[in-house]
Amino acid sequence: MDYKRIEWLFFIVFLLIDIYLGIEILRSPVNLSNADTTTQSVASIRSEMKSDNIDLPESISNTPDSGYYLATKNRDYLSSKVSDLTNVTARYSKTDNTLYATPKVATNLSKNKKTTLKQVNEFKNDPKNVPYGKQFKYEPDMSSADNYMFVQTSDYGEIYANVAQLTISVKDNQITNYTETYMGPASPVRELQSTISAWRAIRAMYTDRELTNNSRVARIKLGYSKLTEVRGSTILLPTWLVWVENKTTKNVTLKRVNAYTAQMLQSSTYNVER
Amino acid sequence: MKFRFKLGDFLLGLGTFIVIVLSIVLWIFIMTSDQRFSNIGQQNQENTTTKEQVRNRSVKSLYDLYIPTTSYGFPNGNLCQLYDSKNNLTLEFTKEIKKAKAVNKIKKIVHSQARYQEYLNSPEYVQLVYPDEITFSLFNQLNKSANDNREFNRFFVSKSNHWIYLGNDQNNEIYQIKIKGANFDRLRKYAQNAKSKSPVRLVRLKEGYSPFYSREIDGKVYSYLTNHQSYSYFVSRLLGTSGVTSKTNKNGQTIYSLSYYTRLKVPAPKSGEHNYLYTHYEKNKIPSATNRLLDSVYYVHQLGLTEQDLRFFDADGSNVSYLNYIEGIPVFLNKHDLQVKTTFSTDSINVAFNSINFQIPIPFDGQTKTIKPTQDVIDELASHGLKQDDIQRIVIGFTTEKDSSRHGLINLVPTYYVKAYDEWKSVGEWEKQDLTTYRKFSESVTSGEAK
Repeated sequence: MDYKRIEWLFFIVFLLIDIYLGIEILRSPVNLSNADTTTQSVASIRSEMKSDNIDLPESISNTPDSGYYLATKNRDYLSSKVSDLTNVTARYSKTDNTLYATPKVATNLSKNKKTTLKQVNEFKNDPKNVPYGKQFKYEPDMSSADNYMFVQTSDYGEIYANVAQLTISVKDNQITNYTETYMGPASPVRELQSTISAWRAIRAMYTDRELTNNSRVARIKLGYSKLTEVRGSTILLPTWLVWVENKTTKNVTLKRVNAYTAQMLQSSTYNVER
Repeated sequence: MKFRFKLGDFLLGLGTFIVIVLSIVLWIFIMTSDQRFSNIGQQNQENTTTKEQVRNRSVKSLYDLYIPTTSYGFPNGNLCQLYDSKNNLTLEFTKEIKKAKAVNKIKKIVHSQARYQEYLNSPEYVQLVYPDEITFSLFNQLNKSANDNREFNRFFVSKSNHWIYLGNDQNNEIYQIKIKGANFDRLRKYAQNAKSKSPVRLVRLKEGYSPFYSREIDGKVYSYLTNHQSYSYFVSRLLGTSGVTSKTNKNGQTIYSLSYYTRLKVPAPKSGEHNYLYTHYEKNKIPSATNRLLDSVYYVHQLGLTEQDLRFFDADGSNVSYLNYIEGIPVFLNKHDLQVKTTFSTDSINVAFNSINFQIPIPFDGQTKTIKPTQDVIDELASHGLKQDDIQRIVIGFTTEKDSSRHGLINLVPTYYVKAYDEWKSVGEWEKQDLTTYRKFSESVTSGEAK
C-alpha cells in the first residue's frame, strides 16, 4: 500500500513538472527587438502615468513615422517684398529678420469665431497684405483669442520655429497688425529616414521627467524644428511636438522630442496663455 | 475484480514511467536548445539592469538595424543600382515587409548557380539586398520555425504581392514564401522612377555577388558635424556606477573593470582616438547564427550610440559588424574601422566600437569625386598582387576626412573598399600593402584544412 502511495506521489509530481516544462517550451522565445515588448510596456507605462495624474489622448500611435533633415538658405526673403504690400504699412527689421505691418484700411471681423478665422485667412492669403501668405497654416493650439498664429508649411511638413511664423493680432473685431518671419523654401539634406513613433516620444518625455505630475497631453504631432545654422543654411529636423497642459494653471507648453533619437530638444518650449 | 486491480497497478506504473521519461526528455530539450539557453542569459542580464535603462535602451527596433542597404531593378531594361533620397526604396520595402505574414512554409526552388543568375538578371524582380547573409529566424513572421538558421541576403520582390523570394548569394539557393498583408505597388513605382540609376553587372566574388559599375560615377562628397559621447557615458552605460575600478596603462588607455568579468578599454584622452573595447568574460558556447545577430543587437542597444544610420554590415564566423550608412553608402572610420564589431568566443564577448556620432548633416555643396568603373579597380589590384579570386567583396564606401574649416566637421569621400583575407581596407591601402604575409598565412590555413 505504501509503495502504491509513493508511486501516485511520483506520478503527480512528475506530471506537474512535465506541465511546467511544456509551458516553458511553448512560450515564445524572448525577442530582442522592442516590437514584441511594446504591448506590455505601453500598458504598464500608461498605468504609471495614470498614477502620476498625467492624462494622455485616447490613442497614441505606436507605428514609426518618417521624415527628412531639411535645409533652408539664410536670406532676407521678406525685405524685397515690402514694396508689393500696398494694403498695409510695412517695415522690415534686419536685426530680427521680421516684417511688421499694419492694415491701412480697417476690416470689420465677424463675431462668429469660424467666420473670423475665414476672414483672417482671406487677409493672409492676399499677397498685397502678407508676403508668402499662402505658405502659412493656422495653428489653433498656439493661438489665443487676440492672436491668430500661423506656421510655415513646406512640401515635407509644417515648420514650428520662431523664424517661420505669422502672428496676426486682432482687437475689437479688427485686424490691428501682424508680424511675420519666413525661412524660404525647404529642401531635403539627406534621404527619407524612419522616426520613432508618437508613443515612443511620450515615453521618452516621461522617463526624462518632462511630463510633470498633474498634466495633460493635449496633442501630439510630427513637425519640423530648427536644429542649427551652418554654412549659410538653417538645418531642420523632424520632431514630435507635444502640447502639454498644466491641469491647475491651464497653461499650455509646447515641447519637442527629436524624432530620430528620442532626445528632448532643449530651450524650445513655447507657452500659450489661455 | 482482481483483474481490474492488476490493470490499475500496471497503468499507474506505466504512467509514472512515461511522465518521468517525458520530464527527462523535456529537460534535455530545454538545456540543449541554443536559442532558449541564450535567451535565458539575456533575461538574467536584463533583470540586472534598472527599469530606466531598459526603457531607454531600444530607441529603435531590430528592423532599423536590419534594413536592406541596396536596391536593384530594371527601370530601362538593364540592371541598375537604384537610389532615390526622396522615395527611399529600402525604407519603403521595410515598411511593407513588417506587415507581411507567411502563409505557408519556406520552399526551396533554386539551388544552382545558373538558375540563381537567371533570377539576378530577370527584369521581373526588384531586388533588395543586405550587405551579408542574415537568417530566416531573425524575422519571425516570415518564418514559422524559430530555430531555422538557414540564411539569405537578397529579397526578390515579384510582380505579385503574394509571393516573395529570398536568395542566398553564397550557396545560390532561392526560397519561395507565400505571404499576405504586404503591398509592394509603391516600391515597384519608386524603383521604376528612381532618380539615380547606375548600370551594374553582378559579379560573383568569394562571398557572393558584388555590383560592378560599368561607367565612371560622380560620387557626392557629403559633410557632417560630428561629436563624441564622453568616456563616462559609456562606463556608466556598460559597467554601471558602483563597484567600478580603473587602471591606466603606459599608452594612456584606461581599463575600467567591474567584478573581474566585465571590462571597458577607453582611449587616452589626448590621443584623438575614439575606439573603445568592451569585454564580458563568460564561459559559453558560441551562439547560433540567429542568436549571434540578436545578441549583437542587444549589445549595440546597450552601447547607447546614435542608431539613426547604423546598419548591419558584415557577419563573418563569430563576428557581427555594423556601419553607418549615409545616402545608401557605408562609412568606414579611421581609414577602415567599423562602427561596431561584436566578436563571440567560448570565453568572452568583445564589442569594439567607435563613439563618433554623425550629428548634423551639412547641405551638399556640389563637391564630387570620380569613381572608376569597378573592373578597372579590380585590374589595378591584380597588378599589385591582389587577385580577383582573393577578393571576398568590393563596395563603394565613404572614407572620413577631417575638414579644417570647423571643429568636428568631417567630409565623407567615396572610394572603393575591398574585403580580402577577412579584412576590410580601401583600395589605396591594399595597393600599398605587402601581400606576401597574407598569402602565406592563407596558404597555410588552406593546407592545414586539407590535412
